[in-house]
Parts: sequence; C-alpha cells; structure tokens
Amino acid sequence: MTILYRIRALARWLFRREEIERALDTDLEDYIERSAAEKVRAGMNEAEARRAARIELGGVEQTKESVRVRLSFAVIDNTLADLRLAFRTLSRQKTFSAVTVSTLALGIGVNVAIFSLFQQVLLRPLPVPEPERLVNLTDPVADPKFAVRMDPRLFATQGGSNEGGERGTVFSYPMFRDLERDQEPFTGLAAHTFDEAKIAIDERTRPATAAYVSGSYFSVLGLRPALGRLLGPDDDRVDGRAESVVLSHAYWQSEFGGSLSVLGRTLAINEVPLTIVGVAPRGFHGTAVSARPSVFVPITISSGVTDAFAANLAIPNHTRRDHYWVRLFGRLEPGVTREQAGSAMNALHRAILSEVEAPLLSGADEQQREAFRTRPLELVPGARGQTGSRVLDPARNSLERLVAVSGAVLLLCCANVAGLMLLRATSRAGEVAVRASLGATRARLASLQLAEALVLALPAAILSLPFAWFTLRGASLVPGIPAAAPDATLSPAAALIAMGFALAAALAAALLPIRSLIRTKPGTVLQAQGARHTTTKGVARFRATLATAQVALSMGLVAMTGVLAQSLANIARLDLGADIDSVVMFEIGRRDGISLPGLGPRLGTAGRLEEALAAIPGVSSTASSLSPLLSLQKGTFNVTVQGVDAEPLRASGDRIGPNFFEMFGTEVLAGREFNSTDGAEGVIVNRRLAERLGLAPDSMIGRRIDAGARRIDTGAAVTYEIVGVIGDLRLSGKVTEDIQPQVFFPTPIRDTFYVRGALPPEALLNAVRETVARVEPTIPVFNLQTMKQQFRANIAVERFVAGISTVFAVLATALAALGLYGVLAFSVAQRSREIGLRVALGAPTGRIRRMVLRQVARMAIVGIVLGAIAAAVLGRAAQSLLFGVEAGDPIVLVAAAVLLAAVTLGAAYIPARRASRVDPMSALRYE
Amino acid sequence: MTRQPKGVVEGKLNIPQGTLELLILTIVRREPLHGYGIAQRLKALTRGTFEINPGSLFPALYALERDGKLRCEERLSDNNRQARYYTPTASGLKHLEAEERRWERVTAAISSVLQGA
Repeated sequence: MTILYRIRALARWLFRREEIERALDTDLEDYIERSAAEKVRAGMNEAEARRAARIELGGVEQTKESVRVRLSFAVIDNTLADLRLAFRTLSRQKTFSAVTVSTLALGIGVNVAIFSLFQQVLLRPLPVPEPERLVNLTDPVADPKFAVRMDPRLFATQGGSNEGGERGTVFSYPMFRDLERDQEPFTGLAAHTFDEAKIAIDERTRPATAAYVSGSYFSVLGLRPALGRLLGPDDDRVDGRAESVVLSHAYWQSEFGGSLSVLGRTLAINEVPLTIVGVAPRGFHGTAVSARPSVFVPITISSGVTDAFAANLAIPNHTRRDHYWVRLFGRLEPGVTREQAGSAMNALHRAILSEVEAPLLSGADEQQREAFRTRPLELVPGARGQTGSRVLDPARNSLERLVAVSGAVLLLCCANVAGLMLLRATSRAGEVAVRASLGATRARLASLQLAEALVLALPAAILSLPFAWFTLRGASLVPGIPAAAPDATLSPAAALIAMGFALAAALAAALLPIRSLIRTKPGTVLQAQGARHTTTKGVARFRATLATAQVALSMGLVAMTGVLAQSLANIARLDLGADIDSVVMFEIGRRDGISLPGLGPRLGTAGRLEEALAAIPGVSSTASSLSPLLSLQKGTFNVTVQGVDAEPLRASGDRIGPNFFEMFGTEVLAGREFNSTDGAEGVIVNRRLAERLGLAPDSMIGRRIDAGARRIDTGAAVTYEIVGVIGDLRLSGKVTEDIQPQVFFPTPIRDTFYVRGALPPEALLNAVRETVARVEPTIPVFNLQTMKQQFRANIAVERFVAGISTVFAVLATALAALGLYGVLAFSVAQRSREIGLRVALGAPTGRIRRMVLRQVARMAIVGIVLGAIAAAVLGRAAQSLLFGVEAGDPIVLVAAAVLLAAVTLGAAYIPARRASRVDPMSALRYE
Repeated sequence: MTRQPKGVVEGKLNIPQGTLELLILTIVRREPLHGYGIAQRLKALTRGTFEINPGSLFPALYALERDGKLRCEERLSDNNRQARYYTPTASGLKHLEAEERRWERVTAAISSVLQGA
C-alpha cells in the first residue's frame, strides 16, 4: 500500500462527505434491520423489535455524529499536533530553517513578481463587459502590404516598416470607413490609435498620450461614463473635425482633481480646441496594452500638421489609403463565431482591395498586384485589447525571458530544498525509527514531514514579499516593461497563484524523502545507533552523494554567473564605433522610439535647437538624428547599388543631421559626412555595406544607391549618391548583434539631439533642459538622459539575469558549504573511535587531517566536474543572453572551480581540525 | 436479548484501549462482514466478555476505511436490502500482522511479569 494510496483515501474521506453520509445510512439501516430481525426471531413483535434495535444503536443521529467527529477531528487534531511539533523542532534548528526558508522565499518571491508583471501586462482582459466577444482585425501578411507603395515620398523614414507602430495590425483610415460601412458580423467596428499630443489647458501646454478613437469605440466596448457622456457616432461624422473630448479617469483625477465642473471646459489637443464632454470609467486605460491615454479624442481630428511632406506622415490622416495607422476591433454579434466573422470580413476586405485599392498601385508587377489583392484578413481574440503593438514587443520579449528565468529559479530552489529535507530526513532516521517502533503509522510519519514543509513554507511565503518587491523593482528597469506596466504592482491574484505553485513545489520537495523515511526498518537503525557503529552505510553514502550534488549545483551556478558577468563586461567594453562618454541625449516629439508627427519636429526646429545647445558653456559639440542612437527599434529596408550586380542588401540606417559622425568620433573612411548645406540627394553608407558588395570604401563614392523609393508619377526609382563611407558604428540597441549594412540619409527634420560637454552629467542635463525650455517652450522633451543610460537600458534583461544568478549562486554555494560541513562533521563524529585508535597507534595529526580532507576532496572534485558539465550544457540555453563568451568558457570554469575548492576546503576545515584533536583515551573509553 | 447494566456485572469488560481495531481486523479477515455481524461475532467469540456498542463500532470502522485498512463493498443482502460488507485491504492485513506480533509481545511480557512477581 503506497503513501499515494493513503493520501487518496484521506482526500476521499475529506472531500466526499455525501458518499460517507450515504454509506452511514446504509450501514445503520442494515444494522437496525438485522438487529430487529434477530429480536423478532427471539419472540418480539415486529414494531417492538425495531424500537429496541434503535435504542440499542444508541440513537441513529448520535452514532452518525460520532463517526463524523472521528473522521474529521482526528485529522485536524493530528495535523495541529504535527504542526506544533514541527514548529518546535525547526525553531531549534536555526541554520537549517533559515537556509530553507530563505531559499524558498527567493524562489517564491521572484515568481510572484514576474507572475504579477506577466498577468498585468499580458493576461488581464479589458475591463469591459463580455471582453471575450471582442476581436482584433489583423493583416498577418505584412510584406506585400508594404512591398508596393502608392507614393514614393512615403518611403518610411526608418525603412520598410510603417511608422504607425506595428506589424500587420494596422489599416488605413479609408479602409476602416469602408469596412465599417459594410460589415455585418459585428455590433460595431471600432478604430483607434494612440499618439503623443500636446494638451493645452488654460495656457499650460503639456505632453500626454492621446487616444484617437472612432465614434463607435465606446459603444463597441460597452463602457459607461464615470461622468457626462462618452464619445458617440455624432462625434466623428466629418473628417478633419472634432469638437469633443473624453478624459481618462486617472487624468481627470490628476489634472482636475476629480472636479464635477470639468464638463464643458475647453482644452486644446495639438492646438485644436475641444470641449470636455465626459470621463471614461475608472480603471479603463484604453485598448492598446502599454499605452495609457489621458484623453480620448475623435479620430476625425485634424493632425494640425501644415507642412505638406510631414502631413503625409502625420496622423490622423483621413485620406491616404497607403498610410496605415488605424487599429481595428469589433464586437461579435451574439451567436456569431470568430470563424464566421472572419470569412465575412475577408470577403469584404478583398472586394475593397481589388476594386478600390489595387487600381491605385504604382510600379507593381502582376504578381505583386495579385499578392496585394488576395491579402488575407485575420480575426484574433481581442479580449485583452491590442497586445500586438510594437510598444509591447520589447515588454513581451523581456517578459518571456523573465518568466523562463524565474521558473528556473523556482526549480533550483525546490531542488535545493528537497536536498535539504532529504539530508535532514536521513539525519533523523533514528528519531523516526523510535517513532515507528512506538507504533506511529507511516501516514503519521508522512504527515509529520508534511507539517514540517508547511511550517517552512508559510514563513517563506511571507518572507517572499520583500524578495518580490525587489524583483519587481529590478524588472521594471527592463526595457519595454515600464511602458507596458507603468504602475505594475504585486497583484494579489498573481501572488496567490505563484504562491500556490511555490507551496505545492515546496510540499512536493518535502514529500520526496517520505518514501525513504517510512521504509526505514526501525530495528536496524536503532541497533546501529545504540552501538554507535558507522550507521547504516547507505545513509552516509547518501549524505555524501547529496553534498556532492550540492557542490555540483553550486558549481554550475557560479560558472553561469561568471559567464554572465563576463558577458556583461564584454558588452560594456564593446567598441560602439561612437564615443558616448560625456554625451547626453534627448528626444522631442517622440517617445520610446514611436514618432509623434504633428508634434515637435518642424523644419528649422533642429537647427535652432542645435545652435542654442552648442552655445551652452562647456558644450563642445552637438549632433542630431531622427531616431536615437542605440535604441531598440530600427527598421530595415532593401538596398541595391547601381552598377553592382548583387542581390539587394538588407540595410538599416537613420536620418541624421550635419557633423553627426564627427561628434561621435566615428571613423569616416572615405568621402565626407553631411554638412549643413547638403540637399536630400546624398547618402552615407558604412564599411559593412561596401564589404558585402566586395568593394573598397573609396570606390563607393559617387555611386548611386536605390533604397526602394519610387516616383509617384512615373514609378521610376529614386536614387541617391553616396558621398561618404563610415567605419563600424553600432546603431541598434541590440549592441551585441553584428553590424549590418547601413545607409544614412540627410534630413532637415530631426528629433533626437546629442550634446557633448565637459560638464558633470547632472549639470549638463540641467543646462540642456533649461535651454530647450527657453528656445522651444512648447516642445515636450522625452528621454533626457546620458548616452550611457540609453546604452544600459538595452541590456537590462542581461543585467537582471546576472543579478538573480549572482544571488542564487551565493545561496547555492552557502548551501553546498553547509552540506559538506554536515557530511564531514557527521562522519568525523561517527569515526571518532577509529580515529582515536589511529591516534593511539601513533598516527600524526597531519595524517588524520589529510584523511578527512581527502574525503572532502573526492566529493568536491566530483561535484565540480559534474557542475562544470551541467553549466556548459545548461548555458547553451542561455546563450542568447551571452555575448563574446561561451557557456563553457574554460577561464570562467577554472575560476569557478578554484572558488568552489576554496569554499569546500573552508567547510572541511573545522571537522578536519576536530578529527585531528580527537582524544584517543576518551574516544576509546566511550566504548 | 436484554441489555445489562454496564461494568458491574461479572463477565463483562471494556475493550482495552487500542485493541478494537485489532479485533475488528481479525474478525473481518475470515470473511467480509457487515457492521451488525462484526458486533455479534465479537460478542460470540469473547463469549460475551466484550460487547461493543454501535456508537464505538462505526467510528472505528470508518476510521479504518479512511486509513485504507478496510475496504467496503455494497451487496444486496438476503431480504433485498443494501448492506456494506467490510474486508481488510493488503495494508490492513499487514497492519494486523504487526499488531498481532506486538500484542503477543505485550501479553507475553505482562504475563511473565505477573508470573515472576
């Protein structure tokens, strides 16, 4: 009969009350019948016999009650007694308890934090009625959509991907209106996007996130206003016009103190005056995960951009069919499935594509046209809002890695706790044997073990909260996560789930040793202990194995930590091709790599700003570009060089201002960089691009390149002359990637600025902030920071993992030392008679000490070798986090081995000394 | 059968602590038996020395079943009523053997003390 059977039986009795009651009824009725029948046979009449039988039973209800009491109370009583005992035992064994509790707390804490984040960023459904009926419309085939542009001037500033913000999930505004008009499967189709906007209230202008929403938005969501009314179909009738605005609940509270008189007041969004008509419900933060709009504005609002070129890129844009910036979602009509809706919407989408849009294509061959016309539309569950946004991508990537890391941490913690419990269990063999011989059942022994696990796990759960808090703080530095979850907290639900998992894991770890415990043969153990023999050999060997395993685990973790640290050091030492020391940067009209047309960058702004910044005392040079150097988001596009017969190269790049490379100290290998008089015809490429084409940098100068732009009227390629070739510059925030071919275009509109100065960073940041506020008071500044900070933000995941891994390696090493110490102290105590005999026979103390050290050396060497192998194998899984160092790096392994050897020898020192001081007389007399 | 007053009457004893389970398991080892049968068999086997009332019998039966030492099958009895028949499980049998050995040692020890005194 296995322990599992017992647990099952217990569970059955605890949870199947009804079954028990039915069984009781059967049993008691049967008893009465039989008893009565007996009495009838003895001569009583039927009725009297029954009555007598009932009396004999002592009352049906009373008997039932005593069964119930026995079944339930016995369990509870035993459990309470076990818990008390476990508590008493553990409070005496302080080291063991402290190490176990803190190991568990670490495992639980990390998981609570990461689970909270995961839940808040990726799992929480929108706070709307029946969110499961919402579906997002997506266009999964991103490429054909962009392979052909209708207008060459819309060649995106960052390459082939659209500025609107995400891959394949955005549509053009006219397409939205066409779909909205003719769709049938939805109660309504809603459009939205979010953007940074200037909000002016009473002369004060501040940047804030605005959601541009269709009139159907709130009714499709099914929301009710907290105050006033929400936007409705009357608010988005005319393109280019908007009159009303709805505030988010949080904005209403922070900006207007929750005042009821806010209705009817006016605020200006990008200089368009709007009347506040209502407040959105509390807790509703828009439908794009990670963007938290302060205001909801009718999507028909004008972008306010007057510059013709910029207007093409700006949103909202109500006319262009090749400007993809609207996100769509709908609420399924009752009874309509997503599949049905999908086929209906696909038919509609295709009809619009081939009848309206395909004829507008320029410069497309037949194949491209066909691909364009048959582009599928996909409906995906939208209960959680737009989760596919580009803003969320970094958060999602980071989170997935963090979840993997925290899961691994929990596993390691549990392995360690299981090891500790096992160790403890073997050292308790004697006590258990006494209990068993006094008649404790195996179930009672198991329940005692479980009680200990509970007594350890509960304080660990409480202690995990500070761990969780620290982890959350650490995790909120990881790129993408601050944007996705600005107010991430430890969510109670996530905490409960994570703790449940962790507790279950802890209990499982505690249950492991039960088998070996309850198999103990009381007799042998007691005899062995009584005679003080080297106990059962198995126990000693088992403890040694466990200590070896702990050394292996700790070796693995120390090696991992070493490799991660090495990798971080490599990244820090990386030659960026740009000198970023004493440079600060900031962005205008752009946040987190999402550009905000309609705000900030205008012709002339960049020049004015750079002039003023250069005039700051102590500033030696300035530069500017369209997107930040070393930021995560860099688009790519295809490039061909005229006169070179080669496949198109995938290149990334940027648009930059004059003297960019000089300011960053980037090598110019040939030609020159842009100066302030350059027109839009020249480009600069990098060495890698020349190398890929097999050309020398010098021979690139004067060639023309085609980066995919086409004339709207003729469809002819727009080409640029190469005026310069630069060396290696790391452009992307993924600094560990190989340098790609790069193409730099000049641009008069720039919104990222760099200032190099000899001032201390704080002073420089302040001077820059003041200067911008003076020169361009209406322009909001984002990401004002040193370039070092910008650089570090990109490797936050790596830093976080390295941090966690360090904590864990320290803990595991402490555990291994403890385990070794335990084994040796135990074996020295066991062998004191033998040692005493050896000393008596004249063995020098040095030899005795060496004998003990040999024992530890064996365990340490085996453990270290196994750990090194494990580190090399497991490290392969973490290879994506590593840069410039292999998981099995020999130098790191040797260093870790030396460290471990030192720790194990340290742990062995006390037992070894004790052994060498064994007094032969007392050891022998003891027998 | 008439009830006798408790305790005072010669020839009747309380069942010693902790032995009820041993007795029940021994009885059902011979053949599956229902609650009434167990009580009767106990009385018959001890020739009336031990009498167990249902208020003690059923809690003991249910606890044994919960602990996986007894299992139960429902059968139709002679007059077409449902009745629950108890049998020991493998673990119950093992437990019984251990208990028997223990009991033998206890009684042997006690009687040797008594004889030696």
